[in-house]
Amino acid sequence: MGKRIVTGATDIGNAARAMTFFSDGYPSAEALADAVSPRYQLAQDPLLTARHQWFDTFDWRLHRVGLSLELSVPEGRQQTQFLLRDLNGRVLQATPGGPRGSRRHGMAFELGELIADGPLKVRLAPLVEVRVLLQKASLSLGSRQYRVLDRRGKTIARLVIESPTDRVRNPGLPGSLTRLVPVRGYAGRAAELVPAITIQVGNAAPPGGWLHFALAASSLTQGDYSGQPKWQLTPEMPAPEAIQKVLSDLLECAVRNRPGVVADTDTEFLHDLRVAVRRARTALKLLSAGLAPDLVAQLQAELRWLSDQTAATRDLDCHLLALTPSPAPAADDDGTGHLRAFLRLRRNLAQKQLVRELQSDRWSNACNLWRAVVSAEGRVPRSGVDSPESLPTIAEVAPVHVRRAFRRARRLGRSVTPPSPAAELHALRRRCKELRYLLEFFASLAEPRPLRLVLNQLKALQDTLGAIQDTDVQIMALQAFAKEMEDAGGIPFSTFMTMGAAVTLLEVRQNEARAQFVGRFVAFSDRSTRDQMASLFETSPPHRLGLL
Amino acid sequence: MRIIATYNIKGGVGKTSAAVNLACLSASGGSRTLLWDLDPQGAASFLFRVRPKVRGGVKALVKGRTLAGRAIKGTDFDNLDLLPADFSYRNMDLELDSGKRPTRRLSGLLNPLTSEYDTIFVDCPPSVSLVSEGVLRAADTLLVPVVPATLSSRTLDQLTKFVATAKPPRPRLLAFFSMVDSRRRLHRDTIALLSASRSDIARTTIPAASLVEQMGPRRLPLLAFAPRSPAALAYQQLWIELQSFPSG
Ligand SMILES: Nc1ncnc2c1ncn2[C@@H]1O[C@H](COP(=O)(O)OP(=O)(O)O)[C@@H](O)[C@H]1O
Ligand SMILES: [Mg+2]
Repeated sequence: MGKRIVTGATDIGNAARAMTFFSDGYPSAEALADAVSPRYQLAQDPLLTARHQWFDTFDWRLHRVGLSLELSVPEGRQQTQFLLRDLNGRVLQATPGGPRGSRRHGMAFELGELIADGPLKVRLAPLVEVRVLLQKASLSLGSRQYRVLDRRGKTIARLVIESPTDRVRNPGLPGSLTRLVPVRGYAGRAAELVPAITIQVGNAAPPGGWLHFALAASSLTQGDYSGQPKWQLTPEMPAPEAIQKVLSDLLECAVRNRPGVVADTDTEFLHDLRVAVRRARTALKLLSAGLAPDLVAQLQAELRWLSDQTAATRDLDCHLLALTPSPAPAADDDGTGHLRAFLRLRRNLAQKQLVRELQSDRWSNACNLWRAVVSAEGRVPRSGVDSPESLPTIAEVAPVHVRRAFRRARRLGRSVTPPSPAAELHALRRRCKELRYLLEFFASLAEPRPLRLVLNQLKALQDTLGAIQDTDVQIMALQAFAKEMEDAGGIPFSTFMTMGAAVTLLEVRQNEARAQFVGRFVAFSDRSTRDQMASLFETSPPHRLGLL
Repeated sequence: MRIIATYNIKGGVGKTSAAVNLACLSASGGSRTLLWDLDPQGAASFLFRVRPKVRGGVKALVKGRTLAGRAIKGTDFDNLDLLPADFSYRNMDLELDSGKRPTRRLSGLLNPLTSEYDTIFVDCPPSVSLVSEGVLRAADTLLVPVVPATLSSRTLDQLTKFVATAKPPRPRLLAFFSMVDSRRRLHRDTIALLSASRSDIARTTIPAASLVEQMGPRRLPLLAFAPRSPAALAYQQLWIELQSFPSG
């Protein structure tokens, strides 16, 4: 019974994470032997080559809960295999099967076409629901496994080294990824090897493994999907008209998502509705010059109301979603059962209230107001002598706003230090969101390359800020829930233990994010980002150059 | 989830050899499998090269201070984990006796693991004790290796009685002939006689083979170094038979 590259269920329930290291080259057998000596020896398994394909729904539903679904198609006659991994590369489930020879990109499968009945399908079905699975990326990888043996000859961990077979065609990829996979019960001993392996092989790889790199090479990003409009503004548009276009698309988006929120089929409808409202609020706050001030003020008040009404359900959704990715099927025994039930109850109450509001006259009135703002009535009346040409164009206005938002974010960020109170970081996060929205509104006016680079830095910073704030919110919520549950009584001690452990984990994550902050902020505000920002709207609109 | 215990009052009859090889077969078939080496001698742990040690020993385990899940070690085989032996298991009777409901405690220890594993093997020490009563209560199937001999029939009768008088839930007993030398008349006759008179005897027999003895010096399951040998094929056959055997 030869050991195969991928361990199946033996990884399940292992508290230790697999660690991944990446390097530009390929670690030699000697370097690896050095890293584990003198306590351990290595045994080498044969080299395998396989084509890997990653699947997810169009809106990254698996990625959003920290999972990746990979189809491995080995060369030769070996069995193809589906692997469900967490972001650390740990295999949560392995199931033989899947189509061979589907190399075409953009292939779409129903869950049932792709995966046979069994535990994997049972696990994926509630996540994927009615959506199809799309091939998001594919790569051919050579893979070699070394077993790390102790003095008894017992395997305590596996080192799996993978490298792209065709690097010429994929120059953006790292030379190799080396995964240290501890065998259950030996995590501590495997962890002791990490420093030596880091020295011999390279640094820790970002989460997501090959999928991350494969997508980066194709300029897609994991989780990069938005149910939001993509604006196509023309530079010559008068600014108020362009902003009305933005607001009208957002209105359309909010209205489109409402039935889904009411029917409660997917938490994403509410998320999209909230984002549309938030963007509209940003547009009204920063870009309302030229729009009727009294209508704008009324709509702002109504949108604030809408944000408030939708907050409770969304928060509880987030708490529940944070509980979901628990990889162990033992989830119901792990003490989260009571918390889950508690949250569900709360969530259902909040949802009922929300549905009432969304079916009320106030919602209709808010929509009417929104319609008024984006109609002719919403523009500041102009005297007859004003021709459209005398209004500033959106191409003139957009750079001013984007640069101002960038400046504000940088200024605020400079005064923030890692241990700063949550409120300061939160303010910075809001500034970053504003900048992000502006960049999205005006994307069609900007140079694609600098825009992509600026967005990359901004997104990275937003992720870190988001992690800091979200963990903070979750910690406080868990503590509040614990208090309430304790007062209500009848909750087993194990539930509180689990919640305590969750808080500890969140604190660890928060500290990681806080430690990350300085680097991310420096990258966001350094010279090169500033240069990209300066060249964002470099080419002036034609009429300004006197061509029209 | 199914719990299969290899058990006999006697030692040296092939309990551990069966537990180890059947557990390998179960795991290689994709079933998430755990083998609990309940014998303080730690033969199964030895074969998987795992140190026969549970932190805090049997006391911590029985009192719930060490969770069984924390003591589990992954073997070198996919889907197969081991709950190691510990020398202190020899005191398990005393520890069980000092607690409440001693015969239920073993099932209680395994309970949290039932969602993690599809099949659990328990390799028992040769004895009649509180421990074996606990095993009877926890197991769905009691798999009993029997070496063909004049007294095999008596041993089986004793065991059947032991199971029948145990508090329910009780496992179903399935005996199989172990270390069979088909050249020996005594073996052939015993097998023929007992198979005719009893319904709880597997059709598969495990031949006496020096390759099985080599598992010790090689510290590997037979399936790992001689998967096509007659003895390995016999274990495969037994595993197929066991899978279709109704559990208790
Ligand atoms: N089928 C067999 N053929 C030859 N030797 C065997 C066979 N089964 C077991 N043995 C040997 O007999 C001894 C006892 O077997 P073991 O499985 O440890 O029995 P138990 O667990 O009942 O004490 C071991 O040395 C083992 O290698
Ligand atoms: Mg034994």
